[in-house]
Amino acid sequence: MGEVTVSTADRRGPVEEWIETWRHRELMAHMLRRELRTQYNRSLLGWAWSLINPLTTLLIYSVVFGIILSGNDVVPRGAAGIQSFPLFLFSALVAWNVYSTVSTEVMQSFAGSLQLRNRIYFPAGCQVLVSAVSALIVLTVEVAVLAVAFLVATPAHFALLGLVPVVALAALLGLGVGLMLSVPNVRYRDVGYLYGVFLRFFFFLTPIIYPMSILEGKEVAGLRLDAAIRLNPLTHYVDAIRRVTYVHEWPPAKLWAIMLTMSLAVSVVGWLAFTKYAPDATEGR
Amino acid sequence: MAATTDLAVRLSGVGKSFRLYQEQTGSLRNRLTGMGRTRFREFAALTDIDLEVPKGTMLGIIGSNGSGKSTLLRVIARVYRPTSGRVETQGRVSALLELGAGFHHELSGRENIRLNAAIMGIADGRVQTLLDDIVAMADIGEFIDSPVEVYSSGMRARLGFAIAVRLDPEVLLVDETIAVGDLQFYEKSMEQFDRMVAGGTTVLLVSHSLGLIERKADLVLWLEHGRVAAFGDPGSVVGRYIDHYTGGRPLDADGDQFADDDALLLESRAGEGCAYSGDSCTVRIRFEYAKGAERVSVGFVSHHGPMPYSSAIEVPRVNGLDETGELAVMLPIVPLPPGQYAIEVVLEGSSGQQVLRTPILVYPDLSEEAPAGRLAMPLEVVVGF
Repeated sequence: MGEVTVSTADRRGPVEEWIETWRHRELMAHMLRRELRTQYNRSLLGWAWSLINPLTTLLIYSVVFGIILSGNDVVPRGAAGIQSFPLFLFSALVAWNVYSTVSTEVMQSFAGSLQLRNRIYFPAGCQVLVSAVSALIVLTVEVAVLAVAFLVATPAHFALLGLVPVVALAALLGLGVGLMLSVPNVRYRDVGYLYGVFLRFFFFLTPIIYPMSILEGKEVAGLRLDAAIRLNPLTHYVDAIRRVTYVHEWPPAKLWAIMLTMSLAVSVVGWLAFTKYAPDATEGR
Repeated sequence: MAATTDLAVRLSGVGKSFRLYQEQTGSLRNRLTGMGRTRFREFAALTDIDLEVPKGTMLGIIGSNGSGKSTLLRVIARVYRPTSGRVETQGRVSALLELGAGFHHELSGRENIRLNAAIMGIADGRVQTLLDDIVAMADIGEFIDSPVEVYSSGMRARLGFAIAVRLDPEVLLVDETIAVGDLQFYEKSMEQFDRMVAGGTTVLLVSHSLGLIERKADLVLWLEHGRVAAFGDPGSVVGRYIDHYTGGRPLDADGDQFADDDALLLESRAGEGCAYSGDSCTVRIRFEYAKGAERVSVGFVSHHGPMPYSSAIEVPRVNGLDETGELAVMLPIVPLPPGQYAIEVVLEGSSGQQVLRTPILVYPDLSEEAPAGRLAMPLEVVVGF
């Protein structure tokens, strides 16, 4: 005979919720396969879109900032003496895209899963974890193109392997933020819109289209910009991805420690918040 | 519950309340501006429900709209977490809570079968064999490979039903009032429930069809305002339910006009003594020719008084019948909003008239919103230029 299932007013704790979610791993595998298969449904170019979008951004910024605003002369020299604004930009853009895409997808997927969860039971964590992994798989295309671009433009170097952990840590940070925002986003749709606005600001407050060196000695109202920008968590991920690709330098232990601490702390806090509030968000009230 | 293995479902002291927020849409502005705290009030959909359902039985759940029937199923299905108390289920639970169960609208019917199987935790190997079985049972032709969003409601109902039933649940929860479609399919599904119960499955069925519940269910739970009003043997619970809704009203004040038990009988899809708003029903009349029965007219009586009557029609007289006769009058539509009424039959003849009355409980339409007003008029709109 089947096992006994108990449901009471007591909320499952974060660890129990994780176990319950893991128990449904076959469901998650199914959802992941489905999500990847339907990702580019009814689209002629299909998976090419996961490249066209970042490459368009790369092209626009390379023309506007690299050529029109002479960014090519400002970017520092990298490995093997290259000085290329597009490559300098591309590396940072990938780290940014990983973070922003994963966090946004996770946030939105939870709201999207409520309709189904209102009719049939499965743990709240399944859909959000699946969407994080699915987003990351789609982003892999972009990461791979970045790696190939550097393999072509510069000699092969072991530091390029650092791309994998940096991307993974940026995704973990995105998952944590997405988890924190997913429940408020159901209650107040403003959260999703606000986050979009926030991301647009932060894109320029992160050293993506400019090198950090450009900020040295600059002050705004007594605030030293090169110090202030380090308060932005994403600065460190961008710094790290540039080191492993553009500079061919394995990031120092301190940088790894900063990223690891932030990604773990944010994702753990995200999971705690999610497991506390998500079960009741199901009822859409 | 491990010790009492003969139970499929057990609820002890289960309550479920919702927060009803006052404002229309969730907006941060209301929260951030001085309007301050979000105002809400607690609404208790279920209060202190104790219930034990033995394995292999069919439990019928009845009650008026808003009495908590659907919430109860959702709590048992774990879609809702109870606010208090404890819900225990034994074995795999499958639920048909809405038309089309747990469908993902962009996926094809076939992919939805796989998704539901995955949610139910059925191994991929078994799904393949179940798949053909479900496709055959749903019987929706090549639509099975089209996205569910293009399905008609009948197709959704059939596929949802086939999935819920064939994924081999040990406990099946069905909200028949919204999850089951047309009549033909409805009958087919009832037969299926019978077979499943015979095979040891426990079925919890929310239904407005009192006749059906009384015939098929082993136990009946009557919910009223989220509490258990009665629980037990179908005959007595359904009887008390009908009495509650028809008895003690001004309707039977002139009780002497009421027909004796079998002189007037109302039948419809909703069962004896009930009908769905807008649906058809049949009135069976046993009468005495001697008291005058040449013309018959049928009407409804509400608390506001008599409703419009049908015009009198001739009673066909069959040779050889001179003492008592039987008539079946088919009403193509019950033109009444949900509520309690009486049905009144007037038989007229040269030697006098007979007035027969019986209570009728009108339920909301199977598929549509309950009409407002005192009369439910079927309308047809033609637009021309």
